[in-house]
Amino acid sequence: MGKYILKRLVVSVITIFLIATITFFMMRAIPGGPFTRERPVPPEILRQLEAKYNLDAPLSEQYVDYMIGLFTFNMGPSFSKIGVEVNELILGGIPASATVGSFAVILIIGIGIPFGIISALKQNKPIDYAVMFLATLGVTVPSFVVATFIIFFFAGRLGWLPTFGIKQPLGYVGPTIALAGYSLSFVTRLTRSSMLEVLRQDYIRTARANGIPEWVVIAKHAVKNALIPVVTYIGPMVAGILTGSFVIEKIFLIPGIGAYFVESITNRDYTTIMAITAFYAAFYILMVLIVDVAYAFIDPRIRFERGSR
Amino acid sequence: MKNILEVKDLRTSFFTHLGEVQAVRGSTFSMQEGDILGIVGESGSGKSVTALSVMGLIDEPGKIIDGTIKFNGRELTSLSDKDMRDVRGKEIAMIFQDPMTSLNPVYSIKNQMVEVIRRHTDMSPKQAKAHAVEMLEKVGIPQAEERIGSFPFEFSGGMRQRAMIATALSCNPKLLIADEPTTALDVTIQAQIVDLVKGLRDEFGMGIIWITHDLGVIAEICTKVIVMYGGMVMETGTVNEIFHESQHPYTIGLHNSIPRLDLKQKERLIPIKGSPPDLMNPPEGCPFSTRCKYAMRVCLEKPAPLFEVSEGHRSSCWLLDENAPKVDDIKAKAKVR
Amino acid sequence: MGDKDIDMNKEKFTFVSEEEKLREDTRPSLTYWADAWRRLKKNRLAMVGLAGVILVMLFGVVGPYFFEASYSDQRNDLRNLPPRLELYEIGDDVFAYVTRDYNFLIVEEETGEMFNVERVNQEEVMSGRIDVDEVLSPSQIREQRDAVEKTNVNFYQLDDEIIELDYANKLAAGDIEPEDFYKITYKGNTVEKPSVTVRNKAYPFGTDGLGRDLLIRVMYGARISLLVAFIATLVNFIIGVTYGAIAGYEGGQTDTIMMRIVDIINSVPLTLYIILLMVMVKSSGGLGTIILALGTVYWVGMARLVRGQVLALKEQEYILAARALGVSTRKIVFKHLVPNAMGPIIVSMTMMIPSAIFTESFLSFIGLGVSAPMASWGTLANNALSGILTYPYQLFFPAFAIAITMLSFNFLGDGLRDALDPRLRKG
Repeated sequence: MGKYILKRLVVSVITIFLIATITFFMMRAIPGGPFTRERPVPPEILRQLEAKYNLDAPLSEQYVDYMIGLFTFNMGPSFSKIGVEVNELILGGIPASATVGSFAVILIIGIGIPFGIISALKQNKPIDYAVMFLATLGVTVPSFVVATFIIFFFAGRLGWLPTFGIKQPLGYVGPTIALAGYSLSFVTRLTRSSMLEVLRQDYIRTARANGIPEWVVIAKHAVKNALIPVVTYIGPMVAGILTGSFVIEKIFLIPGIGAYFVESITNRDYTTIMAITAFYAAFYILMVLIVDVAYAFIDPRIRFERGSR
Repeated sequence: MKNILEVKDLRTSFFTHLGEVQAVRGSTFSMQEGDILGIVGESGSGKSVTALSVMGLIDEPGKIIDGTIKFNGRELTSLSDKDMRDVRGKEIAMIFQDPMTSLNPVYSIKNQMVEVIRRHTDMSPKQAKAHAVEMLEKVGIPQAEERIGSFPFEFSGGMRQRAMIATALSCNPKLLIADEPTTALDVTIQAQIVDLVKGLRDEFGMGIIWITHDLGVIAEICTKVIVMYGGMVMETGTVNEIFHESQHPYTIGLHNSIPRLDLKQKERLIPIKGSPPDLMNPPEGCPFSTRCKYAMRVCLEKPAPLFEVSEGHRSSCWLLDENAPKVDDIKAKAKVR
Repeated sequence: MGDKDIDMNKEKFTFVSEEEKLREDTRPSLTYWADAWRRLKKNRLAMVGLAGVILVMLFGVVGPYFFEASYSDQRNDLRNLPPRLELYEIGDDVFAYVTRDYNFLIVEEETGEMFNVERVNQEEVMSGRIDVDEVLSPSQIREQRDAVEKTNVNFYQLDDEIIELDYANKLAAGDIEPEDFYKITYKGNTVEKPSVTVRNKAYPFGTDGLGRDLLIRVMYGARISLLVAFIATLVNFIIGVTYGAIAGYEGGQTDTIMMRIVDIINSVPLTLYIILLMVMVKSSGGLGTIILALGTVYWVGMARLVRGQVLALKEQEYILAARALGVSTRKIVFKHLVPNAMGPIIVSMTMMIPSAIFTESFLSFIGLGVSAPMASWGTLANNALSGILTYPYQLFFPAFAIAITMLSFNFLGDGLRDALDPRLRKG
């Protein structure tokens, strides 16, 4: 088991490394260089940047500087926000993004999994149809459509929620729902179909044949197996929340990393774009690593073999 | 000797969204203490569903729609879910066909066995574990004490099946139902398992229902046999009667289609032409009629009752009716039971 | 069973012929595709999805031909018009509509056409010295605003008559739920509330901030969004199928290496890649860039799928037979393996399309979409975001279009998945 974790750890680090490198070269590959695009760069910034990035130095030296900078978490000044360091932006944005993101995850796991199980147990009954209907809507309607609907209807018309921002506690409701919507629906459907599949398995029949009480069959024998594919989905789920946050934070005017990222894209703030991309990539890979380890705890078959997902 | 199991006119159907699949359409048989009853038939003949009906394991969209199942005098179809769960595992136990999928992959063997033992007895966890180890040793798993903590995927197919047998017998049931337990295994392992079960039966004294499509296994282990086809019982009798004195065209056809060592070299195998009936749209008459070389008009219209050929030997074939013409294979004329 | 059954006709005990037995037995069998189509037709939700897809495609492809105007025609005087108009009947068959920024429009009852009525100088009107030809420029009007005596009143000139618009009540009311109405005086009559609310015949979806017809723009948006989605899916299909088929068929080292590459690409959210790509190449034209970006990134899913299928299929005996006959690898892969894997491939493609639409909208929403004046649904939504509380319809129509299209494709895809699943085959 330890060997498995170690292997995954090493692969993760290498991948982060690769991503950072790719990002670096992508940014350098922009024709005309990153600093001479649509708008002329203010001379103060240009001087700072040239000093920081050694733009006249050979590429390899720039690369080393860049990588060191990344790993020491010092990514230089922002392009468009004069005087602001990229670190500050990222650190400043973490609280808002993390809170909304965490709420979304709690919602997804706390509602998605139980309802998926209930739906599977009561297949084709009214509650199953209701849950499936909502879940299907949830995976097909894009998050920003949901967000705008919430703003227009619940905030604008009904006035139940504030129209933007997270200053008031109720302000978290809209973004959380919009952000979680897709993944929540997906997890519900996944749990349901996984549960249905598991309940058809021979070992469930064996447990019943041995006289095990039904609730034990469900809660002990079925659920653990059914959750295996769901755990596997957590990686993509986190990715979804990450990328979803760009749009949601922009719509709801939340001062999080996602909003800064979108802003930096609009402003062609290259340093910020690079840094946040690397940050997101690293975070994502970390989450996947955690999931892989958790997966090994649930499914003993993985511990002993080099299981591929 | 009294009957431990009496099944009368069992009918079980599955109500799918494509239609009603009539899996068992009137099955009648009985078993006495110490019998080893073989149920033989093709896939789709209804043998597994019969066993599952006895165990009360028929789930949506299936239902037992008619018939009685008496176990030691007790009517099983009218028991509550809770009472039935007390019967399962303790009085009647079942082992299944595919040992690779019949054990929960995420829990250890010890976990799964102890769970069953503690469900039906008052043993403490320690006692239950000791008993489980003892059972594993009885079924021939070496180093049981060390290996009981393993997970199913660490066992081979044969070993998993032995573990299943150990679990099934751990609470000393009066009846063991084995649904094709060796079909998914190698022939050599198959022989081992058959010997194992025979030995265990001698030691524990339970009745056994052995379901298979393999006549060879029937010959080796069973005392009584019922032959099923298209959801109905075609013939029932002792092993001797079914093998040497069969009075049903289907059974005879089965015998003729098996390769045997004593056939002359150039003699051909005679397969049974045609294919099994569609259980969603079963024929009105005898299910075998469309493939039977002796099919008569009445066969297409009504299924035959179980004619009594001799004490305990019954066959569901119109040829046994006194009105039927004489044919080579069917000797006796029988009375309706 | 009793004695009564023995009382049967001896005649019943005669043998029957083979044909009679056969009649009882057989039933017709369908090909894979015929069976799948039959199953799909039964699935009502999937049929609804199919209808939706066809409708949207018709809407986008055929729709614009019914209109003369183009998606980029701007009419400043007709900007921000909603799809439903509150009309004030200020004279016989003379219907007026007042926009939020106080443009005064006369609406033709029959055709729904609208034309602007010129604003005139308040002071001149007040003093009665108005010259019918004298019309003020916007800056002059602004100048005069502070010097007015009558507040919250605008004047307009229609033919030779003056129209007086009193908006005091409107101003006092809330922004979102306008409670009170304009008071309009024309030819001596004063109208204090709208007489009828009609749908906007000239602009069924309303207009945007630059006076562009929203209906036409949504139609073109359909074209763009669908075009991007289809082409991107096609590119993904070609790359993904080829890659996956080769990896699956070759197996061994080749397969391992190819799949490692896929794993590495997959280890980061693909959206990030796309964003980076778009940022890099943005200036060189939006449409081609997006298609390229979508096409180069999402093939990995298809490749994985095809590889899995090929791995399973290549052990089948007809493949062995083909190899024994000396059929070339390329033929085996593309003529035998791929067609037999088409089921899951088709499902995958049907689900890729809404994905692509979503991603394109997503990119547009964060500012990386097609460039103006071309409009995809995503850019329309993005443009409309700021006005969501005042002009909700501008956002509603594109968002609704996106949602309907994605729903339709998803329902269709779900239905196809069930219909093409060989395990559910019957007959």
